Amino acid sequence: MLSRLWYLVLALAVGGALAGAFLNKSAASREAEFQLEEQLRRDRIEAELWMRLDARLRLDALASIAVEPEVRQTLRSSSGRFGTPAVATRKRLSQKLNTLNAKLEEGKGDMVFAVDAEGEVVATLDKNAVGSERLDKMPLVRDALRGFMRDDAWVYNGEVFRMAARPVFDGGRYVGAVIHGMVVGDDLARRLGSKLPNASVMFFFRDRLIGAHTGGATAPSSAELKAGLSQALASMEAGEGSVEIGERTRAIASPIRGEAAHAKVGYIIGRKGSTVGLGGLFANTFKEDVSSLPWLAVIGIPLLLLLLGLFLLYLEHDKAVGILRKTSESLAKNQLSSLPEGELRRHYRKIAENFNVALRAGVGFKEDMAERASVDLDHILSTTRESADSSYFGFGEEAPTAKQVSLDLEPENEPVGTSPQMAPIKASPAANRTAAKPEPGAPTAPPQGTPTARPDGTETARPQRSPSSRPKRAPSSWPARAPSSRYPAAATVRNSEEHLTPAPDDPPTRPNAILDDYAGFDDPEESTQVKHVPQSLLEASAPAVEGEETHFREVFDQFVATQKECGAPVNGLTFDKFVRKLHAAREQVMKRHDAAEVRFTVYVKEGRAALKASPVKQ
Amino acid sequence: MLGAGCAAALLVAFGGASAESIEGSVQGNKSEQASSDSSQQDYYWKVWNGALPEQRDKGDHADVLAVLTGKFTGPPIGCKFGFRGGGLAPSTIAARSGTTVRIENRDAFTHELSVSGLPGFTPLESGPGKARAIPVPAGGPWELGDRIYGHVDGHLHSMRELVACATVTASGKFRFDNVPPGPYSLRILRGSEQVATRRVTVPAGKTLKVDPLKMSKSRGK
Repeated sequence: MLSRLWYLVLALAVGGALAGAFLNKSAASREAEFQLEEQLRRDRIEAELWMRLDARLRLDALASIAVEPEVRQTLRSSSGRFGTPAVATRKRLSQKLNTLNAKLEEGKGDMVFAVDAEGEVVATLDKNAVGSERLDKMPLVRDALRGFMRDDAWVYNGEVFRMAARPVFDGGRYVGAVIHGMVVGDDLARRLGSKLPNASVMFFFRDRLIGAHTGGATAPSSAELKAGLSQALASMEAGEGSVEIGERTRAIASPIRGEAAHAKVGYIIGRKGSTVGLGGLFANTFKEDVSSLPWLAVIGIPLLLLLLGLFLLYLEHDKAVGILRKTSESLAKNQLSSLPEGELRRHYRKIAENFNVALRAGVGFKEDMAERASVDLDHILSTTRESADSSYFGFGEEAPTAKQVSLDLEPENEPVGTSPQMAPIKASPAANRTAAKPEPGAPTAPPQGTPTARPDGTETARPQRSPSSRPKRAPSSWPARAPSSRYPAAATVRNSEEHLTPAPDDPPTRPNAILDDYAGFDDPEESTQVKHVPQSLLEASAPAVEGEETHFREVFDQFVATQKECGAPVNGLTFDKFVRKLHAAREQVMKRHDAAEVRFTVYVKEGRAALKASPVKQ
Repeated sequence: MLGAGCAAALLVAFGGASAESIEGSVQGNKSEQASSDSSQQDYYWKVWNGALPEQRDKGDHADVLAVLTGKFTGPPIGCKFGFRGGGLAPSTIAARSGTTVRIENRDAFTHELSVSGLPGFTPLESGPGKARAIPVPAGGPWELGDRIYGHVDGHLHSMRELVACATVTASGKFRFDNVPPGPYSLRILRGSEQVATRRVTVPAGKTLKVDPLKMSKSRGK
């Protein structure tokens, strides 16, 4: 029970380990997703910091334009009461702006304005744009005109610009401002993406992609980002973090800092997470983690549990099996008469008890029992039969076994087999006593010493036959057997090989032929059979022969009666022929099954009487 | 030239009556757009230049509109509105109920005017030099905006007897020209509110000078 409990513990442990592994997988997946969200949040912060730095660099770069004397003088001449300068002056300033802008190199603006103190555009990079344009209501320009350096983001004629403005002062007063703009596009996305490894960056204007950068094979594509734009925007407007836009892909959106955010300009950063499988649980395991494991507990506890399990298994099974093995060996060597029930527990004790009961009852192997119980004489004699007719010699399923017979007789203390009840006839004094008394109606023993002729011409003693040609025998040593209560027609013939040894040239045993052909086979066989029986053997076995004769007579009578009951003809069936066949059958059965006794039973088979021989071992 | 033509048409409309002017001024706080149309979300850097002190915002009255209402069936006089310098000038707009008001884009870049709550009006991009017409039903006022530039805001008033409109300069002065003589109501609109009103009668052949109107404290835009 304990060892089975141990199996339950083992199963629970395995189940728990599996559950733990899957739970860890789920937890690891959630952790990975959480890490991805955190990474995207950090990406956004990184992007904001980078764009803040970029804005500062652009503001600083504008200083080179704002301090340019020509710029200052032109703006001063344009401001206040002086009015807009001449077209030629504006064109010169425009040319100057182009020159100065080109010197900014990486910070080169795509759009540069020089505005006077009233916010009117004096010059741009386009030398031909000399119209009247004002920017005084743009917050960026207003702040610059007030003396502030400021950045912004504009949507300007469908394009998005990162703007920067710097005031221009000359002669101790503000005379205007320089406005600088860089297009938000792929270049900006690339520069930003270079700061975010394995991430993709996309700038959008409403639902339009205006700049994108893919961070490699492990990063989501621009198409994936664009497909998830609406989700990301919804999340952004709801003030939430990143959203899942595909399988293992998350993205976070953020409005661009500046007035363009009002026009729904922003950027989105996307990343792909890693799949966490059962094997992936250890993907992030480091040597330090392994070395920090409590190995004593990791190895020691399972080892202790294993030893405990083995000990319990030994207590419950191995020990009992060892006892059974040793005692069974002793039993086989006849050193013990039974299994030691007291040394065993539970099931093994029950097994030993059952075995001991079987040993006391003299039970043999079941196969042998079955064969002893039910021997088909047809089968036994098939080698000698020319025309088998299983109607008379055979067996049925209900045929009693030797044990059953012995048990049936047990109340009468009839000896059977090796047990006290099954003592051999020869060794049983009671049987000898019984054999001395002739049974009522039994034929008298035939005169002994009657000479007969052998084929080789020698004379031998042949028992005097009764009218049925059977020798007169001494009364059987067997006690008179009452019919079995279970098998009323059963009777037993007990023989000893020492008493009856079949002659080598005994007639062929064809029991069925007894009834198949009553008249045609008895003479040669009869003479041969009798001729080969040694006189001394006959004398020695006289009591047994007497009992055998009685049994054969009973069997014959029952057979004839059964035949008549079945309406089958009995003409020509004589007791002598019947007995010869029984003898032959008995010898065959005894040889085949190494039996000491053979019991014949009459039964009905296919509407006719049949005989069944049951071997009984001592 | 165009103004002269309009004046001649007005003279014809009024049966040969002369068209006069109204001059006036308003008193009250100027609007300070710089502090209201940008927030910290619009920039990473807004730093003083370090050389000259900050130029204080003088303010203006770009959100103030003076209107005349009265019995006049001709088209409203001087009611022209549009984008200029990146914003609405003026930001308070009045239109006669049942008519259409045009918002011209005088900037070099595109605007996308929006009118909150005005049924049937769809925001569309208006390129430089283009105008956007707004049909004005009775009711209002409606809030104006720009879907591209967040700093743009304004208000549209629907007035059943609108006669003329006049912008208010930074100094607070306004002037109505070519106004037919007769009794009118002079109203000062600021944002969504009417902050001053006065009944005036424009005499024939003379320019009416109106005493300064004190604007009541606006409850906000």
